[in-house]
Amino acid sequence: MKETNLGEFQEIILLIILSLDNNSYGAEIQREINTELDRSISRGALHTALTRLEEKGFLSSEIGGATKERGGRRKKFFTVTNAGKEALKEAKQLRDHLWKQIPDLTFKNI
Amino acid sequence: MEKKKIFPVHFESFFRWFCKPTLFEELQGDLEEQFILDIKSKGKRKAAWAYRKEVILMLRPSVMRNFKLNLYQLNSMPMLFNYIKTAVRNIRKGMLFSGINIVGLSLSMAVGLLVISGISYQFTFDQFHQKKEQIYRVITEVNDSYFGSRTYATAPAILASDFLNDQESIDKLVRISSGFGGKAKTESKALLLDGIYADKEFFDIFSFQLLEGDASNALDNPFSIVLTKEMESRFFDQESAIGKAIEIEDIGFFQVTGIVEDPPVNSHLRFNSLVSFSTLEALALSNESQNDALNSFENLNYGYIYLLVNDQSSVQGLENSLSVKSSIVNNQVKNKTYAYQLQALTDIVPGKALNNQIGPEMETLVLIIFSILAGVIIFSTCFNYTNLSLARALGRTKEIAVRKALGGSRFQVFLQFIVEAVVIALLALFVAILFSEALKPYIFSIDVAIRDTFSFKITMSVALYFLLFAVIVGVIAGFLPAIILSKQSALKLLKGADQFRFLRFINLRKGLIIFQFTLSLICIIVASVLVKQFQFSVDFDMGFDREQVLNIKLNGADQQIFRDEFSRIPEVKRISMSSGYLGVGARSKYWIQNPALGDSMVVDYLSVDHNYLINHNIPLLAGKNFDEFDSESRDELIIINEEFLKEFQLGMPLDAIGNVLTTPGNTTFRIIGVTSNFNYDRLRNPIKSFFFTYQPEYFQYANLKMNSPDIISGMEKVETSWEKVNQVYELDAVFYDDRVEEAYSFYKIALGIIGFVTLLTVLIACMGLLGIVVYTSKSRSKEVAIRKVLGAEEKGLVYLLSKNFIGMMIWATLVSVSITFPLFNFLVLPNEAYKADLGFWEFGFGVILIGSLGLITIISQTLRVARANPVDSIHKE
Repeated sequence: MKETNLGEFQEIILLIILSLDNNSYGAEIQREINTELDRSISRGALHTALTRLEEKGFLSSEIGGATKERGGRRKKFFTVTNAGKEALKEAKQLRDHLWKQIPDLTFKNI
Repeated sequence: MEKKKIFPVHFESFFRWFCKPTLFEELQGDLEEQFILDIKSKGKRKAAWAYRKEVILMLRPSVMRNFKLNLYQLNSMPMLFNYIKTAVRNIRKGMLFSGINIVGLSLSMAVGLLVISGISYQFTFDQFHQKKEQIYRVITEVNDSYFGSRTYATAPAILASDFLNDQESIDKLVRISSGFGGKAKTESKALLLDGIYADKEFFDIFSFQLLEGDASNALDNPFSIVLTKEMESRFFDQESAIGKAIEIEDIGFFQVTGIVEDPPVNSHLRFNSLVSFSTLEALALSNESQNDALNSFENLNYGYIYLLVNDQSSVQGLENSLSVKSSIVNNQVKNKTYAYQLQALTDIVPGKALNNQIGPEMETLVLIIFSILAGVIIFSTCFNYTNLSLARALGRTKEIAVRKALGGSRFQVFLQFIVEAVVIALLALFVAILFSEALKPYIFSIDVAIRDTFSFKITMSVALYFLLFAVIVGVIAGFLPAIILSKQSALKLLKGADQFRFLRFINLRKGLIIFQFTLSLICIIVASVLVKQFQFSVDFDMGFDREQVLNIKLNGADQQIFRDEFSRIPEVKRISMSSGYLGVGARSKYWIQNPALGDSMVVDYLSVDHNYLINHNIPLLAGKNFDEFDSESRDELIIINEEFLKEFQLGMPLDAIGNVLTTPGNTTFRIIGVTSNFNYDRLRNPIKSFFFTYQPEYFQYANLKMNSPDIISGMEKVETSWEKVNQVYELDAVFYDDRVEEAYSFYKIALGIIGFVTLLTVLIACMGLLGIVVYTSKSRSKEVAIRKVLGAEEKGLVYLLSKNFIGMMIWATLVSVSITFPLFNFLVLPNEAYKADLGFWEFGFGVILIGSLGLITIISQTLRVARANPVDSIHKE
């Protein structure tokens, strides 16, 4: 159970990778996080998180094509594995469950 | 091509160096892609900065490769020993150069060590309090039109009961007042106490250990006193003091409720006794001014408030509510605004300069200035090292070439030179510690204040700083030679053709020498200007006569008894009394209004008796002096100075007599006399309006005009008489002239420090010059020999060898004079109302001194080379 626990940042990364579909490599993920969430994270921090997710088996990666902008360097594409999707689903269910338990009045005035 | 120019290539190679090789392609690719995008959206410079930032943020375990510290891979231990061995051999080989380096470095490092130990001591202040992170002090910024803005360490005591007690974020607070003290008596002894009033929370907040007594209520009841261990033993010898009574003159009986350990020297709170704050409140019941001090928001004279907050995060909120409170207070006061702020306990010493400090203070700015001063001196000696090493490198090209040919990498050669420099710096460290020990008494002798706030003790952590410092100095000194020498290729070094490349650095070396001499010249000029200004201030005719005037602090002695007793001394010609000194900068002020004009002005005044003007030879231009026997309307009579006439538009001196002036507090003053102008303030400020009053209750000093040149016998009699009139206090008698000198002691302190710095910089510069002259002359000995054989004269040869250096000296002179002359004439001295005229000699002295020192250094060495027998230099070929 412990292994499937997702941190907030990790969850965001998984979701972003899923939303990027086939174009999910490091720089793109970083840009997406920076614009979508309006927070500035460094490529280094992202790398640490991606490695961690890969270690947990939530992500798989493959080396892809090179472009001129990258000085001819190849990209590394990430895809979310089934285990990753399951973990996401679990996290969502847990939240939904908790949301349901909140009395209706709590959010009336917000 | 475009990309290459702006791309931060150094960061890229740095990244390549520390990144795991398997990751580099992906990550650098991503960064570069982003960089290209950024250029389009943000512009080149911002894109480059974003890239640099990204690279720095890549420094994390998941990205960095494994740096195994493999000594054999980097540099094997035997190699390191070899470097040290080579270093020691080199030091032995060039004794003169090493000597110059070690002595120079150790001299300047001694200064560095003093600064390190001094500054690190400053940071131990108040660190012993266990809750130091939570303790804050309320300080008050006052703003008014006359003084502008200034900040007091004090806060009105009423703020505690009126406001702070209701704040939830404050755990505890203690009110402290500094006014406690006086003559204390037990059955057998009389001693002076100098302490503070404090609430009983004092011991909860601060970590002063209560040795005997109950911390929770020792400072609870009125008239409770807690003595320090030292005071207890002085009062009661071996007996326990708890429960005993002590009578304090003019206040009453106190009961000893506790014994506290002596406050350490590095505490900003210093006391030899603590008295319950409730005493002050009890006293206030019968004393109106005490009552006012406790209950007025405008009284910032004695009260300090220290808080223990329950959480550091609540400080911001507390500051906000304090500023709300201060605006409420500001609605009730006129002409002024108050702003209450919080100051962390650890920011008090060292910290910013505040008025009404309770203990010693040390401005952070002063510490920074000292560090910079030390830094400049140390850099100057590091230059010497660089200079000499570069010069000597010419003789070591073969050694470097061989090392490189045998497979030494550039880094290894670099390391070798750094090790050499560090070895020298470490040797210098030991000499420096001896030097600094020898210097301590001198530093302490400059001013008493220094002894109060510095200890210069070498503790374990300070010793570690010393070692670190020596290594850093070594690395800085050896860096440039190491870089330059390790850069050369072995082949070129062996061929010898590349030797000329070293000559490229001749300009750099010259620049360094010029810099050093400029620095020492500036120091000498500054010192001589200070001497001149000090002499000028002390000798200035202030418009009143202070010769043979002995000022004695009354310290509560009865004025009439004093007069009777001292007038019996034949050496005393006349006795006058006053509330203070003229001409030393301590002043009292009054707001005065001329009803005819309207606006009121702040005027300085002094309270004096009928003899004061005569004693100090201040001539009356009109009207009459105070009358000793007419005490009826005495309070409202004043004698004004000439400037007063002008500022208040009172016309001629005679017209002013009898005019009545008022204060905003509705006191009236009637002018009875007009004196000529005199300098009542320090010479920094011009003469303004000033007046004398006759208010005996404010008299603090007796001014004895002595008529005998035999000071010593007079002084003995003064001492005997003093013992009769005041048994508590020791005689505090100062000749007026000495007091004036003391008022300008700023110059003396500055002179002490600058004089010392000057000596150092001159020594260092001369040593650097000596080294470089010796080396250059020697390296040209063959040229000199050939010239000599061909018939050149000694004089001509000396000129040939010296002219470069003499040119450098001229440069240094020009630069330093063109810096200091405008500095003093347009920036520093214009702030002084009376300034000494700077003549040729203030600048000429330094130039001539440095010039002749430099010349002696140069000529003595070049002459030796020029006189040498040519055969000795050539016969080896």
